[in-house]
Amino acid sequence: MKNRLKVYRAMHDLTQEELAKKLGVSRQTIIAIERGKYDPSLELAFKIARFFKVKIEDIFIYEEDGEQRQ
Amino acid sequence: MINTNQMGFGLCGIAVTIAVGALIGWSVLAGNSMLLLVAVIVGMVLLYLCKSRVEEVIEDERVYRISEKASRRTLQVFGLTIAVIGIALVVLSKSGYAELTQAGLALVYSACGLLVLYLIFYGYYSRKYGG
Repeated sequence: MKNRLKVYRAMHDLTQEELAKKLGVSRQTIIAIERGKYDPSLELAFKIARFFKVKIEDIFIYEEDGEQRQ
Repeated sequence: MINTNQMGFGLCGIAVTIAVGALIGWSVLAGNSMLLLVAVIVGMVLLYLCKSRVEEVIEDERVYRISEKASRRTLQVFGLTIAVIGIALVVLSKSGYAELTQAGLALVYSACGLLVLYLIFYGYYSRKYGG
């Protein structure tokens, strides 16, 4: 799964640490999501989408034939 | 109250682990089981205090996910290893090495206990999550 978290974070002028604090997760989790190493839970994905006031699919792009990392 | 960050918590954890480990080793050598118990309880309390002073989020869904995977792999590797070694020791004990019987049985029973515990928790979480 691809994501545009880094883009949205930059658009809102937030550091990884600030975003992590606002979402109630660790900075490492934000880093892992941005690098595509970790796909967040549905709950966190919704939380991120709501935080940026966009639809979940605007940030997370599901690729059917994509490599399953988890 | 002093607030610590993630690194502070890590250092606190290492220091407490070393201290408790040393105390356990010393109490085993000295044959003092009371000190052993006190060391473990004090260690747990200290770790809790360290954790409660961390302002940052140190545990989230990613950490839980990592723990789940690590626990599963540990169970597979450890369970299989002690079962194989235990069976090997029991077999060896039947062919002239009688002194290995106790160790072999202890490992085999531990592997069985581990499997039973796993099945109990599996059943519990299976019901909890609608299995």
